[in-house]
Amino acid sequence: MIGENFFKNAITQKIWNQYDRRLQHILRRTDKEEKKELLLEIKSHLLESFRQDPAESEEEKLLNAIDRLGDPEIFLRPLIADKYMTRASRTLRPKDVVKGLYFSLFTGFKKAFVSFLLGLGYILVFVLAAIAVLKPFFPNHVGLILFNDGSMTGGMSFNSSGVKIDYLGYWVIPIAACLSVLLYIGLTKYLRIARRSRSGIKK
Amino acid sequence: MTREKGTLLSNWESQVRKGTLDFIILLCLRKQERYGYEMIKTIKSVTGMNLSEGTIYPLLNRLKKDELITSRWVEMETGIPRKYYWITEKGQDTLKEMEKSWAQFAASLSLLSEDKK
Repeated sequence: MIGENFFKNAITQKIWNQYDRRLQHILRRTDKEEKKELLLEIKSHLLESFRQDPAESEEEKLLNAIDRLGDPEIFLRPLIADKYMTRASRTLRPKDVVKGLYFSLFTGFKKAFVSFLLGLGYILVFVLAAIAVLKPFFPNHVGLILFNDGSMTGGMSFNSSGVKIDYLGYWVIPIAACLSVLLYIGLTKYLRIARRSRSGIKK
Repeated sequence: MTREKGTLLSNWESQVRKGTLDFIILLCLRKQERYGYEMIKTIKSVTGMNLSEGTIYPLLNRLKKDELITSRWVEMETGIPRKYYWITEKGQDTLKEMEKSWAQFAASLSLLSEDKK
């Protein structure tokens, strides 16, 4: 393996091993082949940089090279976000969506803003699903309801003045459930489109 | 120039340069194949850009996925293998379009600048 027993000094080797562990950790969710290739490329870069560093001690040379390369948790973040976004748009799994959003939040203001809007969209998905689930248990508090005191709710309310008109009745269950599913699929499919147009270099 | 103005200008320059990194990488690869470390050295020396060297790898990965560049591993005598990248035909076409777009953008900025004078 590249870099293994490469250094004469035990401390330098230790620094190398620590950096290697950080790389392994951040890349743990990427495809096996891709991870192997990226690790090899980044380590090859570090060793080139190490060899050409003018510092005298081995330890200092490696620390300088690492410093120039940067923190893998930061510079590899766009790549990891991309992975989760791709996976999420394919699998539609909430876990992948959340991870994709989490990593995207740290890769630029524009992406963060889009992620924020997407996050709001997913909250709406949750609210719609909650309406569909809770309507049978709280029929007088969930739905599109006009209350006796004149207030109106399109969701959930703890108003105790009594129901004047329940516009949708139990139809709110299939409507909210369908909207929730459609919105979820729509938002997640959008991730794929956003990912494709993100580079700005495609026609 | 005040210190605050200097910082603003330096931040602006940094944003502009980082925003055109895709373009810069393709320009670097236009005439010869290069490996990552070499590309960074070239970019740093030509543009004076002070970027974290690791930034280039997710970009190279993406350009490769978009089929604008391709790569191959080369074993070296030093024992450190190098991954060489070169531009594809699709990359060359995209680069030409980017250059046109860049020239138009620069020309329109010049017009604005002249208007001011």
